[in-house]
Amino acid sequence: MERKREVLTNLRGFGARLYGQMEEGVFPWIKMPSRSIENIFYSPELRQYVLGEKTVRRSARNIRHIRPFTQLVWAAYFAHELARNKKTSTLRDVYYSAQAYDMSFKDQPESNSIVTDLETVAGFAREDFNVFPEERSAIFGDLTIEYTVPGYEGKQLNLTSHPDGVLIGPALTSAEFTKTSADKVIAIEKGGLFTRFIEEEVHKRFNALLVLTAGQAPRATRHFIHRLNKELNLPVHVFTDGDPWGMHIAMVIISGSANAAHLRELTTPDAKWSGVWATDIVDYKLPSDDLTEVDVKRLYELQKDSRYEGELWQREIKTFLRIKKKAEQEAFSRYGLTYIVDEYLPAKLEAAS
Amino acid sequence: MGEELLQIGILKELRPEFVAVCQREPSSYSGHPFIVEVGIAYGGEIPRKNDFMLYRFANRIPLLYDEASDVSWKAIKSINWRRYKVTSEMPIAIITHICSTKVPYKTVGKEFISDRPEVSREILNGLREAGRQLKRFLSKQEYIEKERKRLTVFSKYLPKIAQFSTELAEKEKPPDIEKLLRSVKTLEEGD
Repeated sequence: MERKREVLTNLRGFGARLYGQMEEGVFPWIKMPSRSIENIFYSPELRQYVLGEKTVRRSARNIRHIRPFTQLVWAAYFAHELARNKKTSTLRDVYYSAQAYDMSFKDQPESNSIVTDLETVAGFAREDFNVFPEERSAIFGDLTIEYTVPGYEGKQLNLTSHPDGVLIGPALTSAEFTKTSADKVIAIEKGGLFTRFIEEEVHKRFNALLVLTAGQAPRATRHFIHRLNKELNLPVHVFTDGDPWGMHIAMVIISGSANAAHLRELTTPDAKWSGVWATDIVDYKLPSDDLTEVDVKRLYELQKDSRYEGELWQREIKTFLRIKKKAEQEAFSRYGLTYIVDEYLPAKLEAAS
Repeated sequence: MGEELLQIGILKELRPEFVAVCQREPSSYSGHPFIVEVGIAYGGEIPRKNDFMLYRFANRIPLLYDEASDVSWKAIKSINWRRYKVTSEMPIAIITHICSTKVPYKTVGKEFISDRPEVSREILNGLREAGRQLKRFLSKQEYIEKERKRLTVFSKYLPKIAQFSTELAEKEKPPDIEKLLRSVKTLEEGD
C-alpha cells in the first residue's frame, strides 16, 4: 500500500512539474534516461541490465515531440485515474481507452512504447500503475496472503486452498504476505510438472512454495518471485527444460531482460537454476532430442551474453554444444512418474545448498 | 498587348488564384520582328487535369487546332517543371501570345506556329520567368500551409497537456497556455 501511495505521489509530482512549467510560460519538457541500445549496460553489482548516463529531452516545443509527449501525459493521467479508483487495466485496454480522450494511438506498439516511457520517467513498473499483462502463471503452497484490492481488503487466503494453484494476477501481486511455513521457492516452467509436484505433495515434503512460470515468466511473476525472495528470505530454485530456451527462462528470473533495464525489483539475482542441466542429460541418461540449428545458434548467442559469465552457465552451454542434445522436464518419467520428485529433486536441492 | 492587359484578361476569363505574366523584349527571326508574351495561371476555376491547359494566340487571334505540333507546346514539354514546384496534377493554364509582322505559321492553314529557334527561345524564357514567379507563390503557400498545420498540432495537443497535468497535479484551473500558443505563431521554420 505504501508503494501505491508512492506511485500516486510520483504521478502527481509529474503533473505538477509540467503544470509549473506552463504557468511560468515555458513549453513543458521532461528529461529521461535514453532506452536506446547503446545506453543499456549490464551492471555486475546489481546483476541486471541498467540504463547508462545518456538522457533524452522531450519538449512540447518540438513539433515532432508534442504528440508522444501528450500521449505520455495522458498515460500518466490514465494511470493516476486507475490507481485512484483502484481499477486495473491491460496494455490492450490502454490502447482503446486512449480513444475515449481523442488521443488515438496509431497502433498497439505505439501505445506500448508510451507505457514504457512512463515507466522510465516515473521509475515504476506498469504493474505499479495497475496495467497488467494477461496472466497465466500460478502459485501453490503454504503461504497466507492478505488482499488489498477493493472488496477484499483484509481478507486472507492460504495458497494451498486450490489444488490447481492460484493465479498470479493483479489481486495477488498487490497482496501482503502474512505467514508461511515454507523455506524455499521452486519455480517450474511447465504446467504438467507443476501439477505433478502438487499431486506428489512437493510443497509438504520439501517445505516449498511452487510457482508455475508457464514459459517465460511474466513481469508480474518475476516481481512476485523477487518479493518472496526479499520479503520472506526464501531461496529460489528454478526448474526448466534442458535447452537454451529453458536456461534463458531461468536467467530472466535471475537477472532480468534488457527490455526492462529501466526497472528494478523484477530480478532475483540469488535464485538458482537447478535444472534440467546439460550435464543431467548425461548423468541421468535422459531420453533426449537433437539440438536444432536454431538451438545451437541461440547457445552461441548466450555464450557471449554478459549475464552468462558464471562458471555453471558456461559449463552447461559447452556441454550442450558438445552432446548436441536437449531434454524436457518430462523426460524423467522414463524412470517412473515419481522419480523426478523422489530422486532428482532432493539431489538437486541438496547440491544447491 | 502588354502585361497589364494580359493579366486582366486572364483574371477575367479563367478566374485563377494566382497569375504570372511576362512580356519579352522585341526580337526577330529572318528579319521579321516579333514579341512573345506568356502567362501562367494557377488554381481558382482552372480545372484539374493530368496536363496543363494551353491557350495560344497569334496577333491576338486564338489558335485552335493542332496544339501538340505548336512551338509553345514543345517549349512547355522541354521544361523540367519540378524545378518550379509544379506537378502535372496541379490546375494550371498557360497562355502564349506571339505578335509579329509575319507570324511564322508552319502551314497555310495558319493553325500552329513552327519552331524557329529564335521564337522557341523567347517562349522558353518567357515561361521560365513566369515559372519563377509561380514558384515564389507556391513556396509561400507551402509555408503558410505548414505553419497552419503546426499551429493545428500545437492547439490540439497543448490544451490536452494542460488539462491532464492540471488533473494530475489536482489544481483548480488549467495553466495559461495562451501565451505559449501565441508564441508558436511566430516560431521560425524548422524548429
